[in-house]
Amino acid sequence: MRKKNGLSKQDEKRLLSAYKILEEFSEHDLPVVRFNCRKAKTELWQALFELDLTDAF
Amino acid sequence: MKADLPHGYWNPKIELMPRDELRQLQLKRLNEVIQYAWRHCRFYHDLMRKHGITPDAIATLKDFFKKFPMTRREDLDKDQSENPPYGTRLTLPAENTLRYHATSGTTGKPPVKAFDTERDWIWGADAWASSLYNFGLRPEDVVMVAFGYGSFIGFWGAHYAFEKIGCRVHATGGMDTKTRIRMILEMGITVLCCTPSYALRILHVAKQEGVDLARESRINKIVVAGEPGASIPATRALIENGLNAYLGDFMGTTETAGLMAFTCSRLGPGLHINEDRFLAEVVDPQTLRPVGYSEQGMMVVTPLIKEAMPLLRYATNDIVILDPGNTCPCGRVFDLFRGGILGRYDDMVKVRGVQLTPQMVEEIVRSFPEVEEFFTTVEEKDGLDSLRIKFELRKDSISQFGQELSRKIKEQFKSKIGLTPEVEVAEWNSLPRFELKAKRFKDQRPKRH
Repeated sequence: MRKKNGLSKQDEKRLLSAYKILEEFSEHDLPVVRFNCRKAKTELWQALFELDLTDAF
Repeated sequence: MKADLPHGYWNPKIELMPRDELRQLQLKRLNEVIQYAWRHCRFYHDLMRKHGITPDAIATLKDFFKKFPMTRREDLDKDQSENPPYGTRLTLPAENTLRYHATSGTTGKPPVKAFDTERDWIWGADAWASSLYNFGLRPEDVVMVAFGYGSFIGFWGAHYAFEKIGCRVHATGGMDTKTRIRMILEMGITVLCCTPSYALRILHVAKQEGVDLARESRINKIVVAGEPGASIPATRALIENGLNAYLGDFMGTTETAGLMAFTCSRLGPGLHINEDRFLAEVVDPQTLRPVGYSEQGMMVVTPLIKEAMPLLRYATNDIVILDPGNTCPCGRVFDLFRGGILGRYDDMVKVRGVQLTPQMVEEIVRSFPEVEEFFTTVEEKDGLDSLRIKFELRKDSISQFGQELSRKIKEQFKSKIGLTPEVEVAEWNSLPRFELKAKRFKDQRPKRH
């Protein structure tokens, strides 16, 4: 369930999983996948950092 | 009548968190930054060793404020000149960075070179994005960014942030002012982003062209940065009334890359500091001891993440007054710089024993709406300091009014500052106009060492 001022534990886990997936595809051989996922991964990292969720890494 | 600005929080978890938790978060991030600098940044590793500090010595914010040496602009200049071309702050090979920027060079010193990794850059743009959202920017806004898009960082971060929010952005790097005015009208621009000086320039040219932007344009928000103009009530009123729009003041530096402080949509009494991203201190410029809330001092800042070029306790020379966050009705816990940046200690000059800043002059001169533009010089005449102000009357003012206005300006200086300047009227459109980092103050006295 979503909390008013933030994320539920479940949402936090899903975001962290999304980061792991993007991280994996940031190393992909196909440039279209590699470059777009790398950028998306860094943008998502920024959100996790701002939410103070980067301790999990 | 202007509609209220939309109110909201970019990241309510952090912006509304109890103050002691925010301090804990700052300490955690600070410890990470210090560890990183110790391991990867030669400049700070050497500095810490020189002062007998290891990362373990900083267990509290108080330890940091007390033990960690400040970094000054001179230190950065010296480091880059002794270790060309980039100095010893760079933590990774330059080819692994994403962005290069340089300071604007308005201080007359060689520009400081600054690099950002992709993570730094996204962090910096996000600091802008959160600040712009908190001022009231929304995806439906149409933005004109009126700046040169050169190596000076200027509004580069803002551009990326507008896009992140989903606004349509018009980059107008190579355009002249008349073309920009036409675009404002034709493209339905709702947000003008530029320096305060350039906002005044646009109003000046629009008037010459017979365009009333307050009535004819859709601009409802103005985003300014780069100069202290927005903190001067008279200048602020000229811009807001000339465009019939809310003015948001935003403060950052090339050295920190990110946006440090912003006007919120409740238009409180100052600029909220992005305290989850920056650790800000205000110190006495002489003793370097901390000053309390409501006392004027120099801003010292530490970005709480910086991969390419860490920066710790950077003494900015900016003059600020700190107020607690709860003096603004928006609910954020972030402290405020009262009235924004009030000037710079390195711009301060002594004229006949009186400490004077360009902002003090502007505050008086701009309080007369008949003044279009002005320029101040300090000279030496017969061995005495002489303050001289030249001003232009607005095009529609009666020319005989000039002498009367000169007398009034003199009176204001005498009563508010204790100095009596020479004041004279200049021909209309003869004084310099500025698009970036205005310099309306020149000290022409011979240097004595």
